[in-house]
Amino acid sequence: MLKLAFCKQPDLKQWFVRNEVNLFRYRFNKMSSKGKIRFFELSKFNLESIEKGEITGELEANLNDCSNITTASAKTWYRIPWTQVGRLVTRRSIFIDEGKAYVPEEDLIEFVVGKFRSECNRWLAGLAKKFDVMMENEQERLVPILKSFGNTIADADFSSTEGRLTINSIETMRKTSLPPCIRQLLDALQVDNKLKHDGRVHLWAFFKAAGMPLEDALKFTFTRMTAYANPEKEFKYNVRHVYGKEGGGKGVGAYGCSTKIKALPVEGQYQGCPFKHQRNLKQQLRNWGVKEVDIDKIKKKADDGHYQVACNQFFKSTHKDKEEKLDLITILHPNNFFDQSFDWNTGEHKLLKAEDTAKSEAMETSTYEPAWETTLPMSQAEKESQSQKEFEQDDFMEE
Amino acid sequence: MVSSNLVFASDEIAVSEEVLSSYYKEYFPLDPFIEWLGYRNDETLSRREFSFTLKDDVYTRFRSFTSKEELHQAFIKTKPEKIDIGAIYNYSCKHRLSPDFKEEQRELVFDIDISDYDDVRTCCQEARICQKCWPLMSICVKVLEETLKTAFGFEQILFVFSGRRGIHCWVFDEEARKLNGAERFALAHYCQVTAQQIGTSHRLHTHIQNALKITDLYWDEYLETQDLLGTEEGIDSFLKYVKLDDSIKNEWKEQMLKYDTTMERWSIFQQKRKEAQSKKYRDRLFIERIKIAVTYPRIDIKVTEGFNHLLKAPFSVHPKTGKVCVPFNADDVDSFDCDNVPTVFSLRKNDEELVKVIEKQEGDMSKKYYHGEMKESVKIFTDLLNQVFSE
Ligand code: SF4
Ligand SMILES: [Zn+2]
Repeated sequence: MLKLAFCKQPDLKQWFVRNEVNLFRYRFNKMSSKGKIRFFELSKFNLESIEKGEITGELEANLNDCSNITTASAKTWYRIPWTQVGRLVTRRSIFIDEGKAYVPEEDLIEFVVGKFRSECNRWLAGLAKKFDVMMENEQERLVPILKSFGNTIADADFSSTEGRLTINSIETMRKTSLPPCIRQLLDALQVDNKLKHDGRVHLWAFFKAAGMPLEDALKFTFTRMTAYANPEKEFKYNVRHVYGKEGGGKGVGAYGCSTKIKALPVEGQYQGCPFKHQRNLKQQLRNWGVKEVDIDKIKKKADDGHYQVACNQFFKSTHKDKEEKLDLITILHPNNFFDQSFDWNTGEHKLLKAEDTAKSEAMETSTYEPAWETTLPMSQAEKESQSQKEFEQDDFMEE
Repeated sequence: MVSSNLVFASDEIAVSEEVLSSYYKEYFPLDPFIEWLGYRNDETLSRREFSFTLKDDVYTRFRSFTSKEELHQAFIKTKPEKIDIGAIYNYSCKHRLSPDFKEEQRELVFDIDISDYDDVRTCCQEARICQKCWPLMSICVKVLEETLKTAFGFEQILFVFSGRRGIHCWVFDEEARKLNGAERFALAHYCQVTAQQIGTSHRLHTHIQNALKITDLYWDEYLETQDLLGTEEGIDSFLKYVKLDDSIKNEWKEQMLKYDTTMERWSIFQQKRKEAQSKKYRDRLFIERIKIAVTYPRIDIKVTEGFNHLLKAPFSVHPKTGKVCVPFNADDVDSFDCDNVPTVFSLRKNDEELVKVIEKQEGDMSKKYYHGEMKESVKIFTDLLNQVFSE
């Protein structure tokens, strides 16, 4: 059932696979060494083991150096394509030669886990294909149940109440409550008085979801994007379009963290997630008043590819009181950052209010962070917004 | 239209549309270029993502072309200031909205910018690069080549001058093209050694030992020409990498300050290293750590990690310097002179002469890019392609 609920949502799928893999790793480690041997016999991996006699001279030295040991010749080694032991390559803890990794027996688990992970992914992908067909017959019975599983994270609506952000409060909010990705856009706008196309759309979509009234968004655009000869003429339609007041659509939904993390901003574009794309992250954080002790922690998380975790830490570092509760904050979306911050600063945050229920809820969602290993295609929603953007861009070029 | 308010430093000339378009028409090696991007197959070509940056920074992604002629027309019509190459997808980019549209192949790429080395250069800063700091790029090329070839077993590797401030490396091998995201991530991190990863007394990974051997080919000369220990700050910047108590480091510093030259001061480090060997000091790897900190390739890891990261195409023109992004031989990297590469201007200047040369040629060989200034780099490129297609 869970597998069904998750197979259609890339983010949820990652989360699911990671948990399954952890469980598998745990079970495997618990196995007795006899059990492991039996497991390898049964699974017929056809591993290429290395003759003991081969481990002499240069090879022996290399194996010792790469694993930082002195006992290479006493161990059993296997030669495995490096692509199948990704983690060991990432950690640079094995010797690689001509595309083959030399893996000692105790590290074989990485190989097994890798196999398990790709099986898991393949299986879910197959399931997703069958899903649509199957669902036609199950509209009434299964679909609502499945939706309620998945909704908690992926489809949640992160819009705030109308009027939460206004043109009058934006400068204060910028210092206290706006997410880093939006601060970065505002910083660039302040310097250049202009933003590239993607940046503008991201900003407007954020405004809309943060409850900024349309008039305020227009006024903000006209008074701040002054590098353009006639911002009023140039952008009125676009802003209204994002707000769903032109073009007959629902407007543009606010962009989520995964879109921003996967964005490919080129020089002069600022619409990405600063934890992933900002080359000068430390300086940036300093400018935003983050304490020096926290900067390193945040940077470390960002360097390790845990961008949203870095964002959680940023939140923690820029909000006061009740530290143990700040630890439980998980940011799910730029607009969710804004909402949580707003609530926190006004004492309305649910973590501050209801003690235990909120805690367990936050604990549950906090296991969610993008996996290091999976690259997935854009979700349908992201693709739509992408095409939207390009469509607009084409228009733009003809002007 | 929006006016661009870029301010050019003195060495930057903006390339005019007219000059660009004549470059694309006559000098851009379109035939081999297309052969490469579609791997001799127009259907594959149509699934390859191109991105153009046009005048006034208009940036368009997910363009695709079904034939050489179509691309040629697009070049001439839109005169892109920058051409980026993306992945080969499972469908043509026109169908990028399809739910299972995804990357299928992508050369493994590396991007290195000299501006990331500003803390270890005294000759230039930011985008500038000269013969004195070029050895840093030589080290990158050699370390990458050695790693990709001996450790990972790749063979078809192209190094390209990025037109202004660094180098790109493209790996064409089929296995490299088909690496998935997780595998790229692993490889990229394998190739990113940092000073922090060097402990105080352990065995060094073969990869690090090999990188250090390459560094040693350049170290003394680099240290001396850059005068890295010429100032007190310079000494401090090295001592920062020594994992010993401040009192010991201050003592060393005082000893160094008794000498004037960088090399004399460096010899103190070497002498300390010898003493460390006999267990006098706890940190026995500080020399290695310093060398890694200064010279180990600083690759832009996000580029290598990504399956669909865009990278500037070989043979495109840098919009500010007018320099052509030419491929070069890894073996000749030391003598590569980035101020002496073909530019759209030099090509124009020598055009008349070249016209006379090609008049005598027939067929393919009557293409301008097989002769004159472009000849050498085009040959490096086509030789590599021949290797790719001979398999
Ligand atoms: S993690 Fe999300 S909210 Fe935080 S900066 Fe990045 S994109 Fe914005
Ligand atoms: Zn220089």
